[in-house]
Amino acid sequence: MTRYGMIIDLRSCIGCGACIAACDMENETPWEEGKRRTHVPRFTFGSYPNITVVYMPRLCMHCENPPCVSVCPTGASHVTVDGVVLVDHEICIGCKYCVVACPYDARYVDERMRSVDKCTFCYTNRVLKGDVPACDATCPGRVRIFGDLDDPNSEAGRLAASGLAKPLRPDLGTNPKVLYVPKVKSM
Amino acid sequence: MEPVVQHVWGWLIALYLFLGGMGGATMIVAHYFYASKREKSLAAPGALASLIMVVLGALFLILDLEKPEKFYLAVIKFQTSSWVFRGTMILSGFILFGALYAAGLLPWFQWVPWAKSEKAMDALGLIASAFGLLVTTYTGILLGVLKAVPFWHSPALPALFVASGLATGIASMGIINALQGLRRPVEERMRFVGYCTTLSKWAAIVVGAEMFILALYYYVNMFGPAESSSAVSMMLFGELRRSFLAYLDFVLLGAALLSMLYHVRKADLIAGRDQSVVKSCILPLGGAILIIIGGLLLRRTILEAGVMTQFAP
Amino acid sequence: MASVKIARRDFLKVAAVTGALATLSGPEDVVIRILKKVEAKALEPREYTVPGLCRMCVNSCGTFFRVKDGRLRKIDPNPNNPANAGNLCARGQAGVRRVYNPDRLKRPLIRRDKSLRGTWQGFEATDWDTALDEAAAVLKKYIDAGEAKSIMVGGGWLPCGVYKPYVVAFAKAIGTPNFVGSPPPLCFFPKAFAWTVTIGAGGHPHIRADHEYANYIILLRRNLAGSIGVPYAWQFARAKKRGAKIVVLDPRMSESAALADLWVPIKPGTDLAFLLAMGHVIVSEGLYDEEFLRRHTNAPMLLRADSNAPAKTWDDPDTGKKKYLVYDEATGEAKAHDEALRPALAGEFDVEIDGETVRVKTAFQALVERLQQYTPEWASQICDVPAETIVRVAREFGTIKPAVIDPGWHDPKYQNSVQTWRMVAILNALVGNIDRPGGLIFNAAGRSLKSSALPDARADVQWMKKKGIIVSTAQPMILAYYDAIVSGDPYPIKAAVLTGGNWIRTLPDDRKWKEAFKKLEDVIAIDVMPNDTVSYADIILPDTTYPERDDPMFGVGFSPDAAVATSVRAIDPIYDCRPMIDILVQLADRLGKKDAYFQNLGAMLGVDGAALKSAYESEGIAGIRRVQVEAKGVSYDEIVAKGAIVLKTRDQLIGTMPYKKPLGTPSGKVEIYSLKMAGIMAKKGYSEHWDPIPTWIPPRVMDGVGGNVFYLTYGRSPIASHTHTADNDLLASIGRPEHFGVWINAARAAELGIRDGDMVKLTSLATGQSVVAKAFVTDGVRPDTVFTVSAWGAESEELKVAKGIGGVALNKLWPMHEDLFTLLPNAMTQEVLVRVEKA
Repeated sequence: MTRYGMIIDLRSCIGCGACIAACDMENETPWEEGKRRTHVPRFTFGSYPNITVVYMPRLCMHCENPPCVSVCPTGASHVTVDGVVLVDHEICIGCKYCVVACPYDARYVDERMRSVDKCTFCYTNRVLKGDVPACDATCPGRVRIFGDLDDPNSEAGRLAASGLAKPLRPDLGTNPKVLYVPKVKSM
Repeated sequence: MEPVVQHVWGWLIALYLFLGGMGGATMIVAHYFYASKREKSLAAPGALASLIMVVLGALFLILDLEKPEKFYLAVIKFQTSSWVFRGTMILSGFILFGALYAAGLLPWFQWVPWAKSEKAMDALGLIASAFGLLVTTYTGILLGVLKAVPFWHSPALPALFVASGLATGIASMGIINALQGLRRPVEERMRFVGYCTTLSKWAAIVVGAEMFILALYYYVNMFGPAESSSAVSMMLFGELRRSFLAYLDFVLLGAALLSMLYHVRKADLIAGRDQSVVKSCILPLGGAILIIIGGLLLRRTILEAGVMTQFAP
Repeated sequence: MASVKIARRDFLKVAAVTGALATLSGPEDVVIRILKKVEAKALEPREYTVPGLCRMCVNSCGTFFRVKDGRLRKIDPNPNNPANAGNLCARGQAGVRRVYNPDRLKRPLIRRDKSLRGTWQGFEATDWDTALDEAAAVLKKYIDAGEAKSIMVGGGWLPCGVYKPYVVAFAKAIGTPNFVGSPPPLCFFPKAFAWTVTIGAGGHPHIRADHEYANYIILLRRNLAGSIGVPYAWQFARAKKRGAKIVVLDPRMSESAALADLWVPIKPGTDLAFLLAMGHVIVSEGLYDEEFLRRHTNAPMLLRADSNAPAKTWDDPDTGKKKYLVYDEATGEAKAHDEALRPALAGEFDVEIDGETVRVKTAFQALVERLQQYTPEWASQICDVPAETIVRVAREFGTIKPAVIDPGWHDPKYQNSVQTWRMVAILNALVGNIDRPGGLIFNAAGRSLKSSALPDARADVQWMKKKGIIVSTAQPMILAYYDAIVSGDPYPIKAAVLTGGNWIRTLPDDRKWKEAFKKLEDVIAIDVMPNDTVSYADIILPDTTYPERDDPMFGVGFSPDAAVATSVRAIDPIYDCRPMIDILVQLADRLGKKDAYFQNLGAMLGVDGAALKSAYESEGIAGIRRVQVEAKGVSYDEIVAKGAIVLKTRDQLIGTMPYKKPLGTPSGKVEIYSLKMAGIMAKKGYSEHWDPIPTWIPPRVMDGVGGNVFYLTYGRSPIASHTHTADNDLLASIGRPEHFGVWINAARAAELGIRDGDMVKLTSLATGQSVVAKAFVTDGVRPDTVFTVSAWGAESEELKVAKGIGGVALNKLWPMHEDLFTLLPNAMTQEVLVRVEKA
């Protein structure tokens, strides 16, 4: 069974924002209003000169146990057979409960469609055509690795199986399919 | 880390939570006057007001939708896991039984068959009140189940909303009572002054309970996860300080006015003095209005303090 | 294309219906006209992609343009192009917003009142014929008066790097030698010069660190992750993922430093001391590659022990290279370097040269002696870096294989820039990593460089000669043109044809350049954006953005693979704009110089000029491409479908220089001891700046910081290449405060009462000019240093996005150093102190 997910390798993220721009153009997000499907916040730890800076790409976690889906009153938020969490813009009435229910702050209201919207892994526009999501396709750091987490031959599958990649806040019980390889100093 | 606050739910949802809470509780108090005093002059307008509040609240909820014209999908899609769907069921139940019950009380609908039967009315009132309690509680549960907002994610929140709902429900009955009292000749007024004393006593108790829950809730959250403590400090020291203090001021002042009246009235009774209109009706009117505004401010403040889950790598 | 077929079928249906209607009613020609329109519309595919080249920075990454319903929707990376290998940065993605930027120049503009220069007042929109006629008339005036050389053809990085032949052909055709691209002394000259004298190549596109295979990488004065040349950044990031150790020397926590295993917040401008101390450790602990030094460098070259001058060198008529003496350990005598069996690497000897006994030592010996004084403890005091750190980095660099120090990118920053990069080159040579996997390798473009001298008639050449400045390499000297414009020295420059670039916002001390641009009699500008410099033009000829035009064929510049690439027009220009090449040809045509243009172009491209002209006349720029592609022997259809074709892979090219093929240095070897610099020394006497063996030179602004005075440093951010990309709404919305503001150390900011996000005033102690920008308070910058990104500070109110961003206009803070020209051409852009106050 295909189980689409994404590994995010924080070790090589340079915070360049290519993924953001690619996503905005690919998916025509309402970025002009500051609403977008992916963000790359910058974190600084420590004080001069012993500081660590981490860029952490954020997007929909495509949870196995997605709170957005269980709170949706109309079934607009749903999960595809291959594990991608999507919003059906026809059925969404825009109650925004999912926006508040998503612990990963991955959702926003697209006023043009009068519907909630979010990262789709570029499901219909790219993945179903055999391509990878726009953010993965453009990433100069090879930070984002999209693939079938159940496929041991895929890079994503290998990393998922290795245990190197970890979910964000597993305590929330959402079981995300976006996993992070943490940044560790090697010397 | 800068706290990120939920930004999609604003005044309309605050009004909905507030009106739901107040409306549900008003039904309970209204039914008390029917069940134990057979006081239709309070129960009837109370049930009607309760119904109007909840319907108005539901209307605000619909208005808050991006697609209000498609609100029916929230009902017909039958997504039982969603508290919005469950809410629509509770609201429907409340509106249905509340309407039946109100019809039995209101003079224009006395032709309905159950209006004549006190037993049937008692049963209907009980069901409507139960739904009222559900509505009041549900407004808290709606937020309380959300793990994404750790500050909301607490059993204390529904408890707080129930307490606040009851306080506003009592206050709304207080207003109805005062208005009814003012309309009557002096000799009849005495009865309403009596009710007013009861309501004032209850209000004081419920507001006391509300404050207790609030203190507990904030104390626990203060030492809870970062998101919750930043929500609390936003209210105590930060940008929500003003609306939070306004809420406290309104509710406490309102309760104080009512309890002041309660003591004045007791002293008057003991001394055998006459009940002035101002003391018996205008004072509780003011107190009740303050409590109600406070209830709305509480919902709004809690919504504004919805600090989303934070992440660090 | 499938979509075309479907559309065709739709068309047939429509045609049938319309045809049926036609038989019923109406005159036939009307119906036919309608039919033709319908057919044209139906045959236009709704969605298609064409390959292109990114023009958001000089790296020219391969892209695909995706067009839907006649609108450019998306730019995707093109994996066929070996430079970016299927990666694209935010700027590349935001190219879509460059096309649909409402701030663009939309139609030709003419302004007759020259006193309004520097503003956007007084422009009148006109048609192309009028604009071109007027522009041609302006140029004709000078040509007819025999003053063609008083026209300066200028530009920024695009004509400097990408479209150079097309602009130079124009300059030559109208008879002026004065073409100036982006000014090397402000760009890469000091760095490129140092590398070129050491290994024969040093420009941006010519050399690189082989990050992909390196296990230890040292980066200094460069932020390749954050400035994102994608051809470099993707390999750098991959190296990190692979587990390579990365050390970054930078006064601030750059994006590269964020990735590094070790961030060394070195004092600005003191990298040379760090490097000299590294050299000290490496030679004293014997961590160098002896065989490499002996065979492939001039380390064994004999110098006179008293003067450190070469004992003897002479020309080899067969190779055109310099020969030199070495001490042959096998025979115990001095011999020509290619005749010795075993050249001595170190030592002092008495040898007989031309019948005279001379005390000599090897170049390596001289280097070892020079480095003796530069101990880690000494450097520690200068760099503000613990000595242990220097020792550790040196030892790791000497023992982890393969290790490399990155060759840098932009560095006209300090007076010691040349010797800094000389030392980087020497350290790389010491560990023997030149042109080896994981080492310091050549890009394909750096393997066959031809040097050409600048024509003597140029104003800058005459000017430099007059002042006794070293005209070492063929690098235009834009700063000389200030004198030429303002005081007519060496001869007057009266008119400028700008083909891009933004000199008012990039050249040191903008007041001087504003004065110069007001002084010019005529200014014609070809550009896409209404930038600060274009506001000084009298005639504006709007250029297209890159997806709106066909491009000729180019060699891929920034890749170890040898490849050719092109860009195919994706959409028609959305405004009344024309590609720059067309504009130049049309101007040349009006001046009767079209034949000359194509002859010049043909000579530069190595193809027949007449063939170019006829191909251009029938197919436009695509015709130029066709002629180039045919001459190269690749398939036209393939290149316009794939966008790029690899001719030779990295693996076929690497490991040849200097092992099988001599380098472009005088001796053909890696020059530990620079013969070029020795030549300058012989002519001009000793200066530490051209000491053939690196020596410590402190930056000019070592002292004077403290209180509210800071070192000024700058760099790039991932969301802006330069002022060219500053006006882009998508990039502006992605940027974070650190991309727009002035970095100031948190502890120092607290002392000065500056909070994050406050407006601060920076005053240059050198120019006295001030700028106001937002403070970015951070622990990621040295306490004595402020940092800012170089793309900002736009003053043109037509650049609505860039103007809204504000930021620091660096060239208000940079002085034009008066003695700049007594050295090697170097603008010394970080030799500046600034006073920081709350605004």
